[in-house]
Amino acid sequence: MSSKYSVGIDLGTTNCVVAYAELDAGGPAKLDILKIPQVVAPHEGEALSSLSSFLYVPEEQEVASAAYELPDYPSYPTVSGALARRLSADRPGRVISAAKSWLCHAGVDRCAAILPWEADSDVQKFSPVTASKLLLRQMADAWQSSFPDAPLQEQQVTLTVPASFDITARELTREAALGAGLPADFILLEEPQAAVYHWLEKTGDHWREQVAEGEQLLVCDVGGGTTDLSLMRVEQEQGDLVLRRQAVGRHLLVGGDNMDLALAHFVAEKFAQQGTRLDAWQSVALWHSCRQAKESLLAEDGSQTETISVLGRGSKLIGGTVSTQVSRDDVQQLLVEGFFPECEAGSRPEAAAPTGFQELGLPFETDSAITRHLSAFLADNPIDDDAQVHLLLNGGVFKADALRTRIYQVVGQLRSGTAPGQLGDVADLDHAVARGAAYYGWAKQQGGIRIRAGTARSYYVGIETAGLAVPGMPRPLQAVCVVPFGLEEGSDVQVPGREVGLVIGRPARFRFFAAADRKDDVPGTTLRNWSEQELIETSPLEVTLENVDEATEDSPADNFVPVRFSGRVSELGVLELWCQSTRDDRQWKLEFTVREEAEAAT
Amino acid sequence: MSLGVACKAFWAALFNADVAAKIQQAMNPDAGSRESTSERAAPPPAKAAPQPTRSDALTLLSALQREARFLDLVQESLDGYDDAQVGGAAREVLRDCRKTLDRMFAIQPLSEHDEGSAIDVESDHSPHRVRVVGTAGDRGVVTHRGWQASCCEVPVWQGQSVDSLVLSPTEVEGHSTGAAS
Repeated sequence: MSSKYSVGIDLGTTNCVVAYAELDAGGPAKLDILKIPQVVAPHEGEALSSLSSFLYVPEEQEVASAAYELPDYPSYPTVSGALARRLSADRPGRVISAAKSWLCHAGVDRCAAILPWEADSDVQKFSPVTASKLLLRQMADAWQSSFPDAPLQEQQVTLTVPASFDITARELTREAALGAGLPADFILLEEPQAAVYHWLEKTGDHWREQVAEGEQLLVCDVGGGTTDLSLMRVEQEQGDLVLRRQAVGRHLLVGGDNMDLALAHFVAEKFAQQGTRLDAWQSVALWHSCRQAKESLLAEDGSQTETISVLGRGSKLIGGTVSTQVSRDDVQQLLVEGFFPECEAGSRPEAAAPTGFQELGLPFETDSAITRHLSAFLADNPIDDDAQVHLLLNGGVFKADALRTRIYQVVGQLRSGTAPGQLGDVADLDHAVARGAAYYGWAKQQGGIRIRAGTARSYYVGIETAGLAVPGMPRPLQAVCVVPFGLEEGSDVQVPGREVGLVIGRPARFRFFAAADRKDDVPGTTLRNWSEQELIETSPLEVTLENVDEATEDSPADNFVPVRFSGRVSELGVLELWCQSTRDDRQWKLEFTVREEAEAAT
Repeated sequence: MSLGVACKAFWAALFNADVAAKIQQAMNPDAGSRESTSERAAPPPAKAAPQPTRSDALTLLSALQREARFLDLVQESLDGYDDAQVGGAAREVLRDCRKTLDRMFAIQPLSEHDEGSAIDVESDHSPHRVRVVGTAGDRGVVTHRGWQASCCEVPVWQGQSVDSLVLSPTEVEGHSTGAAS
């Protein structure tokens, strides 16, 4: 199969973008953004350069009247894009938003129909996986309608995920993507890496002049709802510079939307002081106005004050419009100090005061100070004092000058006064991830720099130790490292030592853990004590040894097989764990059991 | 873009449209071949494809109202409002209008020469491209650069002809009997 195009898909928390480049076209990669047809109003469609990641669940009556069925457009059980985004304010109980954040939320059953969260009772619900699949299918269909002669199944497709997505969230993303019609060999690429590829594409061969061996790249990607941190190192390999991804941060649920909302609350208070109480509808309109005002208020040469207006409802637009003045200093104070406060090396996010009541919704960060999360990340992943650090920013919020200036300043402070180098510019921040992903696919085929990444975590299988059973006490658990940090694509490891006996025909289940900061563990390293922060438990693994082999049928009395573990990262970056018989060469793949676990929990 | 547009009233407006649509369908079960107004549109087959039944001009007006509340602004009488009040509303509307127009038409100055710069005027210039005011000659000073669209990508409307003149639906704050939703 030879692909004609490299297609990069950015499945964002609030916006999706598809970029593509023709392969074998000669010359440097030429990237374009795919227009995605979507319903913008009843009976009205438009092809836009992004697809808002909102899904509106139509009413039965709307379905019956085919208001969202356009003859030229494929139809879906939900309506996503511009219309759904607008309706998310008017009819929140019928709109799924931030499906991607739910995909990474281990506290809920991600395959169960739970969205829209807090939906009205008569609303059909969808699972986070299905919602993501619907968005991806619409993008796949958009590709097909633009390029009927180049089936997506035959193209080089790259889909981006947050670097901080855990292995289960990646697995679920893969499942959604395959269900949506992406080719089986599509690649999952981490978003901060995509941002770096975008920079590489923009700078061409000149990137080697901007960084040098031993220097570090700190990628700070602030999306609508999430913040993603990655650290890379410039290394030399056979006389050429290469990039090696060293660490990724925790999944942080704080982003640009939080800033818009904070500003809206602040302005609503101003209105209240003037004696104007905003109703729910006006509050939403205000949120929107604040999003627009944020950039100009944080611009370097912006005005000292800005008028923020909320238009009157109904056709009394002018008469009903209310306005208030917001000063630049107030907004700087609110957003810059609120989300990017100065902080000292070693400072950490403030932990929430325990409330005793935990809502099941998305686990938003209790400390919205992105710089403190950044400080903790740098403390956990120390960089040599004399190594030059370059900062690469990604995400629409960095169009605001004041936020950019502040984060450079803070990184300088955290690095004991050494200012970070600046990479990339602000142009095209909205499409950078999709373009970077398309460029990655292009470079993979046409030759070009690759980031050496490998696994961002080390992984452990939990094994109960043998010993006397004590009533009421669980058997002590040991965690055995099965995949070390940084295992690269296309390599595998055998876990030495311990053998485990698996009973034939009965499912065996293993607890499974991931660690971000245990980079020195090797396969077989056994942990007996660990803190909850150190080893994060993810979905359990399950395997059933089917009695298919003739050899074992000959000896029915012998109904268990001693196995050893092995870990493997495929060429496509998929992590697999296998049980290998120590008697013969049979092996069984361990599967993640997201569903069963969830069913048991509900 | 006003976030509160239309939507609350969809079902109410659509209910009527629904009835209308059924009548329409009964009278005209299958429309003929469609005319694709979007270059991107080459979609799955096997669906009844009615001819778009309204002018792009109406669809553009509808989009400007939906995204920028353009009609609300120009339809409202300015009597009794002071300039600051008008300005406050207009600022929002104009900004959103521009965004919509930029997306659909990517509007750019026609001439690459700045206002005030002296340029040659070709004797056989197209009157569409250059309008000479004052004395005609072979030189002149640009007083207005002119505008041009770089593309024309208006949304595709494929509703029933009975609704084709609707520019924006009636908005209704919905509630169930007794209790507000």
